[in-house]
Amino acid sequence: MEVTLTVNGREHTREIEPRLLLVHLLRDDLGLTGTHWGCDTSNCGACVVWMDELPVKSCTVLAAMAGGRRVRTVEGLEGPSGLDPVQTSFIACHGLQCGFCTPAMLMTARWLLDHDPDPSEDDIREAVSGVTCRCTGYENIVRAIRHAAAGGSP
Amino acid sequence: MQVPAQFEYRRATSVQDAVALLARYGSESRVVAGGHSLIPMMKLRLAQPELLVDINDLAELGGVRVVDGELRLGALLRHAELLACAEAGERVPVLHDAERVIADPAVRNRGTVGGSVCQADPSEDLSAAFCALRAVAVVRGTDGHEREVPMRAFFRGPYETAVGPAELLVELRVSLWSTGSAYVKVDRRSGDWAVAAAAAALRLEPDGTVADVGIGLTAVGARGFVAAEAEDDLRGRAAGVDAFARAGRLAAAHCAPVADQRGPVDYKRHLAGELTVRALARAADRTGVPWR
Amino acid sequence: MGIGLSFFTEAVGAGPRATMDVAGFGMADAAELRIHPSGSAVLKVSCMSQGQGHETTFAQLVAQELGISPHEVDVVQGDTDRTPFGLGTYGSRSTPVAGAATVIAARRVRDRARTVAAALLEVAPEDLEWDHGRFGVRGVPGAGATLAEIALAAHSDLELPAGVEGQLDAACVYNPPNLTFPCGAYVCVVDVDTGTGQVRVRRFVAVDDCGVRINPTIVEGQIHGGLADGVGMALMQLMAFDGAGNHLGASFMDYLLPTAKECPSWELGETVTPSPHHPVGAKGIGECATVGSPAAVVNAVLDAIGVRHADMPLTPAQVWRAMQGRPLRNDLAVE
Repeated sequence: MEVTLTVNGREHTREIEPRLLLVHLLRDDLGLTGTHWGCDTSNCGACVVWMDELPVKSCTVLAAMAGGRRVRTVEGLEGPSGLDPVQTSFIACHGLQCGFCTPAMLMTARWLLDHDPDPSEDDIREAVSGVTCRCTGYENIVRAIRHAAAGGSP
Repeated sequence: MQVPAQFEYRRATSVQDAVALLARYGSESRVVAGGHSLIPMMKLRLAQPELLVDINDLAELGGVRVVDGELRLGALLRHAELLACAEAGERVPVLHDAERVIADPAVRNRGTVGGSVCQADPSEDLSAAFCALRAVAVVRGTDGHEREVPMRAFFRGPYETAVGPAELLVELRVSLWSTGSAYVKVDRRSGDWAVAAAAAALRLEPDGTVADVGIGLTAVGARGFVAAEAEDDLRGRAAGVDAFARAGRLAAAHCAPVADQRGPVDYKRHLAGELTVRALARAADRTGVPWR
Repeated sequence: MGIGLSFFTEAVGAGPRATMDVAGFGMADAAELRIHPSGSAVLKVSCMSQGQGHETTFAQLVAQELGISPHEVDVVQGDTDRTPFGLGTYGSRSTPVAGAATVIAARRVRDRARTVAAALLEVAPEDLEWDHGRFGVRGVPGAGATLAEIALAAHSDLELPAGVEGQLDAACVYNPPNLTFPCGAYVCVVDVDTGTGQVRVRRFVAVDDCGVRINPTIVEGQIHGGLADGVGMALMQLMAFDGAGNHLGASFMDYLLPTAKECPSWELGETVTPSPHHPVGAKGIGECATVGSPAAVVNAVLDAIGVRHADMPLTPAQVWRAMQGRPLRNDLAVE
């Protein structure tokens, strides 16, 4: 079947099998490997992208279901004036180590701050609770998101 | 890499279209909405439908509103949308309690209320909540005919519901009889399936008498997710620690939990009682009527 | 509420190759350090980072020894076609072993640089003093050469002293004289719901001694992650099998990892006791927190429920049964 979707503002049309998952379309067909593919059971959250402005787990969305919808990945986070404040904050606060969860954390953090510019520590922990990190113990991720909320200067 | 088996994909343009597709393909077709139960099952080949009918475009199935003294939840209502609905949280707080402990925010952005109950997983949180509330499911068939199924008759067993092969769940209706309700869950970690959970809905007379009560139980093998014996015992009694403790003991005695990696039978049975008591107490607190 | 303490010492790195081996391989690691004529460096090491920041830590080691910027050190790892052979990264041993090899290789570069600088400046090698990337001539202020000048000279038409063929490159295969012994003291505070057996970690204070901290931010990051892993081991990670031998924890749906909601904000402290078995006094750190934190969490739960012993993981079911003196067999799913 044919599917047309918008990814990071650009429209793409691809011939796909209905069973193709969105995460694989992004990574394998569109080459957007910033979105990671982890557990396959929608637990680890490494595959979080935005679909129609909401964070979703792209390993549990069929590419066909994303047809006609807007997808935003970590590659679409950087703006014309450079890295997004959540990105510079993750760098400044050592918010990543191996980097596997990082794209999902960044997309989740951006969404949170768009909807709550001044989240508490508990709000942040709740927001990222669907994304697993094995490196940071979440400490510096929470700090980085607070840092971004406070302006995100490097 | 987990990939579903081959299937045909169709996007429904209306409820009638969806039902017609389901009718044509029969039991080999499945509806997909959020997909967070079905797609993992398809990856594990526990489900291998030949046709997937995507209902995500059917805006008529979305939304939550109060009509004629009823809270009406569209089958396609996302968990996050229900959680964001302040009126639902005020009128039926058990639903917000349950929604807060379903999976995680990203899953709740996608998963739907209708999908959760249609999955009929014995550990699913909303099922017990809707049963406690004596909610009603509205199901539409091929001729556009709608029938109402009480949630207490909706679940036919694990992963089986009263929705026929050529029918679609379109709405859940919650009568606003309860004046206090609550959901209490024990899990091994946030986002995990329940070890056990209890839902309680209460309507108290001004003197504290239990005018009506609904008690739902999750993951402990309660028939139809309901603690009927506990409800019958409590109705008409004065709300109080002793009465709730009796209800808890009855709920524990009449459920049938199964041991698994979440815990042994005796522990789950204990939780059925303990969580029933806690849910009743929280629900009673929320009625605003003095009790105990 | 319960308070748990744990104290630990971990034996980290490796001992002499003659007395410690893995399947007949000595537990050595190696470093090769190449100095460009510009004075910048390429370090090749026999270990591999999975996010621990070797690119940063090892560059800092070279930079510290040679007085150059860490940005001038390119760290190459993880490809035995291009890097020396060694036993690699596990068990907190990268800094103790490959890190030591790096430091010694850098010191060998410095020794060669002294010889070349002596020829360049026409003084005796022993008249040169090393000061932050520069050999100065003792008693002659202003006279001297930076590492970059010396590196260029080592590639130039300068008549080099006997024994120096040119270049400053050096290598080291490090045969550790002994293990390093990081240690720590951890305190955990938990709340236990005695009606359900649920545990919440309220506070966690971890004081670690991993010797000299080459990069404190990276060290703290390693500790944060290890503490969270320890909470997972202590409270939720179960490897059970059903009667047919199927593993019941085969996906992240059943093998649980702590989320941000199960982790408190970690409170860290430090003491610094330099290791006498490492050229800069560093010890391993990657694994330490996973050694100490499960014990602290379990001890806190036991303190809360007044029980002397219960097996991990302390799931709600296990805590509830332990309170009644009937602990579960955690290796069995069903009883």
